[in-house]
Amino acid sequence: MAEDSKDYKFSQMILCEGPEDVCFFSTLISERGLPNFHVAHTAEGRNDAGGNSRFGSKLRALRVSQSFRRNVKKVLVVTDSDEDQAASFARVCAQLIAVGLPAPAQIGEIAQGAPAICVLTMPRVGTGNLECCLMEAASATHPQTTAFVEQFVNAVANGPEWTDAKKGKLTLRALMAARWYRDPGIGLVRMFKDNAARRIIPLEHQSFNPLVAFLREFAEQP
Amino acid sequence: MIRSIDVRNFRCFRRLNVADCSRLNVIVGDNGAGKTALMEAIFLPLATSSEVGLRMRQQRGIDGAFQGEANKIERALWGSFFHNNDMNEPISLTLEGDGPESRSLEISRARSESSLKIGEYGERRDTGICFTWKDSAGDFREASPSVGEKLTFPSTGEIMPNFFYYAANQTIGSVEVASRFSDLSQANDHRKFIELFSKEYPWIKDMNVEVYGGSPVLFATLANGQKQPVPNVSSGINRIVAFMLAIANSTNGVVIVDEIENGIHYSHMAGIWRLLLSFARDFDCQLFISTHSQECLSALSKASGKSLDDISLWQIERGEKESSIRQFDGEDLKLALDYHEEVR
Repeated sequence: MAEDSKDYKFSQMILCEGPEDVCFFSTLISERGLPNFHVAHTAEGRNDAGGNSRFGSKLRALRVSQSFRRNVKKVLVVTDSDEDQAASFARVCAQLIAVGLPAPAQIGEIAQGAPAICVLTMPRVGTGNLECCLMEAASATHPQTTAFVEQFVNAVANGPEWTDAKKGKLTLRALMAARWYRDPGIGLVRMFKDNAARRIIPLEHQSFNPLVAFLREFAEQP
Repeated sequence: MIRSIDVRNFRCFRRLNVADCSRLNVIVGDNGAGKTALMEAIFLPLATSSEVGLRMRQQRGIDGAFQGEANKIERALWGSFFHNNDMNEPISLTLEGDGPESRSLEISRARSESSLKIGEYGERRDTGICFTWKDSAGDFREASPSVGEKLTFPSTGEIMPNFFYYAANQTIGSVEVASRFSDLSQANDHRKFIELFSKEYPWIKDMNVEVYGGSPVLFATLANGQKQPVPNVSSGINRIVAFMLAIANSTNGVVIVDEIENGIHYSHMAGIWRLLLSFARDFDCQLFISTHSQECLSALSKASGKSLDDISLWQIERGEKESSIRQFDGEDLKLALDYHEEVR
């Protein structure tokens, strides 16, 4: 199970960019029976959007917590790949170094320290973000809707300003809206929290298997 | 300004070194972790009388008639000062600083009970406990309490006016408060004090010292024109006034406050911190303040704004054998509070 209490008792944490990521990982952990992780994001409690520039400050804040220092031994930092995966990884590492934490040499590698740190990009390969990762399961589950949504996206988002990451968000949001007539304005946070809406993107889909395997392996690392 | 503190064999600390003390040092930790012990460790070297041992005992709520054998009285009075109650290992408390606060204190006792001396005045006996202070000039002064018809706690004779310690449950005397306000008034600083204080409590329009039942008491003039003794207005306000006056009378000094939040409504905490910081900076006074309250800490975060350079957080952690400390700078503290992390 995942939980977000400020009393940190589990030995590992997933630290992501925003509340959507937290809901995704928390639901994945729960549905796939993964070991306990704290799942947190960089905008928690703050009046800002969080994002990938706040990992350092969030980790700095976490180190003030006695229960975090005492119990959390490993932190998996999850960032969107965006348009340049290497640049995203480097941006996170620079923040880690700036706050005196170990920075891993490569994506998916664990840098030992207190806590040990690993950085993962979403998706693991190529450009994009969480929404891009969710699309494979969503399109496999709703192929017809996906075909219409892709036509729509190709029609309206064909300029150079429409990066892969932005297109990914547009595609997923349009698909979710189309699949959830009760409230087409549904977002990822509410979708993952709603037992029925959650079926729009089934997390048992095989496209999530590599991530599940990675999290399980990460949790088993001493 | 105290720059560093070294504590050996005192209460829950076998060995503790705190470097990089700031203007405002906020001390947090679980019950029994050692917050009060650390504050005592700061205050004891700044004292000049062996009576402080008795005072610390009373502030912790321990009464005693002190009858019986000298060694039992000695153990009751000072045994708990020593780490693991081992009175054979001396206590050493050292403050390094810029001025007269650069002092140390060693508390030691004779190696065995048989060395307790019978004094020349019949029943009077030295307890075997010796307080040895070293001042900023390097001079040593000793004071050994003695047991007779009454306990005697000699002093070194030094005058150390600029250091104040307020225990968590301490009742603050009205004469003491009136006297400090009078000192401020004589220095013509009282108007500034009232102005700053009224910003937080706008219904208090003025303050002055009046003789009330034969004693000087600080009075507040309220918005409705009534004058009331400050302790009757609010015990919390009386406490805050006492802290502010202590700071205002402690140029280049040190004020220690245990559990600042006691008696203060949460809505005033940010204002109180602003006052404390403003006074401490204006009067060049150093503060050591403990709290159990996250609300109180969040208020500090709001009150400090971007001026975090002279603030630090000390977390005291109780270990299996002894307590330890972890220090964070003001930016760490602010970030943790902004993220609603548990910092206490």
